[in-house]
Amino acid sequence: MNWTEDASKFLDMWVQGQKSLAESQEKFFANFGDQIGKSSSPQADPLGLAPDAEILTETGRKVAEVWRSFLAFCGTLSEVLPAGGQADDEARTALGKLMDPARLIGAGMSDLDKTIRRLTETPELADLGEFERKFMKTSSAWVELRRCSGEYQGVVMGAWITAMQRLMTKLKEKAEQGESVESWRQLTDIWLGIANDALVETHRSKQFLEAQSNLLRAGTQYRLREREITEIVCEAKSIPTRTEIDDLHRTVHELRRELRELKQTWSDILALAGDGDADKEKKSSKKRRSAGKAAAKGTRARTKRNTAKSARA
Amino acid sequence: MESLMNILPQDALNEVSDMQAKLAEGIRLMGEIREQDVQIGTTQKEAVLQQDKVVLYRYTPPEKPRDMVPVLMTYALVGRFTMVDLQEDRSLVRNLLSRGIEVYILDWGNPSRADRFLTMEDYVEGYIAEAVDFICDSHGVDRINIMGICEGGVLATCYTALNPNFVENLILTVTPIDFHADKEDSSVYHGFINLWTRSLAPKDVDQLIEAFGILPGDLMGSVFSMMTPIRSLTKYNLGLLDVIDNEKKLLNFLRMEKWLADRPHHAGEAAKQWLKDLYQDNKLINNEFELAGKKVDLGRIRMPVLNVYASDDHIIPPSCSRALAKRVGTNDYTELELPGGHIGVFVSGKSQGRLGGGIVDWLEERK
Repeated sequence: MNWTEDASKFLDMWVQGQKSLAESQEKFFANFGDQIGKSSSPQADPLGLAPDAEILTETGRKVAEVWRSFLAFCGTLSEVLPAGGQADDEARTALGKLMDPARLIGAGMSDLDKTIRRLTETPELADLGEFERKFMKTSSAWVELRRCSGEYQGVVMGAWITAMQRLMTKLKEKAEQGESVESWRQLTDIWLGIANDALVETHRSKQFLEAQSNLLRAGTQYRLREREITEIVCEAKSIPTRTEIDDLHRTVHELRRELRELKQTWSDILALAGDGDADKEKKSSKKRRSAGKAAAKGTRARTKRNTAKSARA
Repeated sequence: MESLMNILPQDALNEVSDMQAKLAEGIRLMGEIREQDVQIGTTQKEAVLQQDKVVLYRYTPPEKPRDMVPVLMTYALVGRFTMVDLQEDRSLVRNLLSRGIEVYILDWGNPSRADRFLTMEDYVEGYIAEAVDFICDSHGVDRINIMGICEGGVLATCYTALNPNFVENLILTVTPIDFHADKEDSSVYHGFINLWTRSLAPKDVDQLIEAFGILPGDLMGSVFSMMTPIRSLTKYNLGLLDVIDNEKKLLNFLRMEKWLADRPHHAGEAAKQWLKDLYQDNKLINNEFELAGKKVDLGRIRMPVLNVYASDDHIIPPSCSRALAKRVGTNDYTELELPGGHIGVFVSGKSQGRLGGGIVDWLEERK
């Protein structure tokens, strides 16, 4: 088999995979948008809290558009690929995996997306019908999270398209200059170098930074909305809520800080009074440091008062 | 058009055959590796002080230490201190101990949501101040040497500026001081964290901490991965394949992975100060950063300062560290540039001895 046949076979396989993925994503967004549209009629949602079905469908359309442009581009690849050479199936399969954006998106580039999704994943709360208002807000936050996730992945896909275009250009140039690729590893290294540069450039772009910032905001917003619902249940069942526990932690933290300051002040007083350590050198050193500290302190009101006492002592 | 792929059947066969041999050897080695082979942070140490979750360790010197002022190391809150003692032949701690220096280190522990309200004041005027006090008492000295690493360097800088009378010498390694100086660095591979943090709105940072109570270690891990996307993506196939048949390299790889996997969360309120006051508003270099109501005035750092930076540091660009030169209140300011990246300075084979040796030589000159 020559290089063109190899590449065509690989690309066919790849394009089919991406096509299925693109179609399923578009369907998901469209169906979800329809469902949201039906459930958010003025009667069902008088406060207008349901997510905008049009926005959702539009997101799906944009994501699919990016995929389609990528697939169209892939269809032209065989025209630029030169003929000649041979390769083994095992190496080709390995390279195929390394060049598969769907696989890469799942494995690396969308780490942030995955992390946020994992951090926000909790048991479903669909049975809380009586808390409809807050539930709708939570649903809306979830849809926003999915929308931002779709946009984020669209930007990431743009980076892979750029990388693939650059790879093809590079290979074409090499062929025109009479250069050849001597091994699958060499080809892999060329591809990875190009992909790395394209990804780094994308990560620094305004578009990417905005998309990941929106995704992070949507992820945390969803988590907070979900907490509101959970807390209603907790309160009804006399279970401590997250907010109450946070308050408790704040109180403990403040008490701990106060205790530390008091202990320090007491220690300074003892050192300055010449009490405590038996070892003379240590005592003298501690006394000097306590005096220095006493002179240096003095910002918080409580500390101020205690330090003044210690200085007097 | 000329033929591009010039892979002869025999070459392709050899390539596959080599790969299979590598894998076979790798599988054999993996089967023989035990948990103890990939231990990190193995230098003997003793817990000498515990404050909440924070532990002060004293490393056990191999022989009687010289008459030198002890060193307290403060590591970043976003990573684990074991990086300074990754393995026997790649250990800054061992390099210092072998030259007769007494070394202490603060282990910040694993902050959870319960530690949300810990601030940088608590770290600087609480944990570090207590540790300094303890070491001074133990050694009967008035001042000690402080060595900060990355974010730990910022904590050390703040402590020193607020308490200059208790610090003999300040040593900073890969420490950001001017958080906007990445703009002077033209490399697209440097300073992504600076850019990423500035892209967040301050209220997004607040919302993040409100939602999680901490800055999740996983999230920071994802952001770190974005700086070297392909390396992060291929390290478990190509990266591992490169070292899998070499026992020493494989163990180094696994120990580094072990360190990377142990990424603690960052206490919530301290994270807000770190991201908003420092990364976004750049208050430290402008003497506007406040802790416990006091401004951190870098001009109060009047003792000798050694500032170590990595020439290819993609996390803390050299310009962010070197900005300290113009702000400290001492003429005894030294910079030490080392080759390599942010972590490589501490763990690479090339840097071994250069960092530890450089620090000890510098301290000896000021004894």
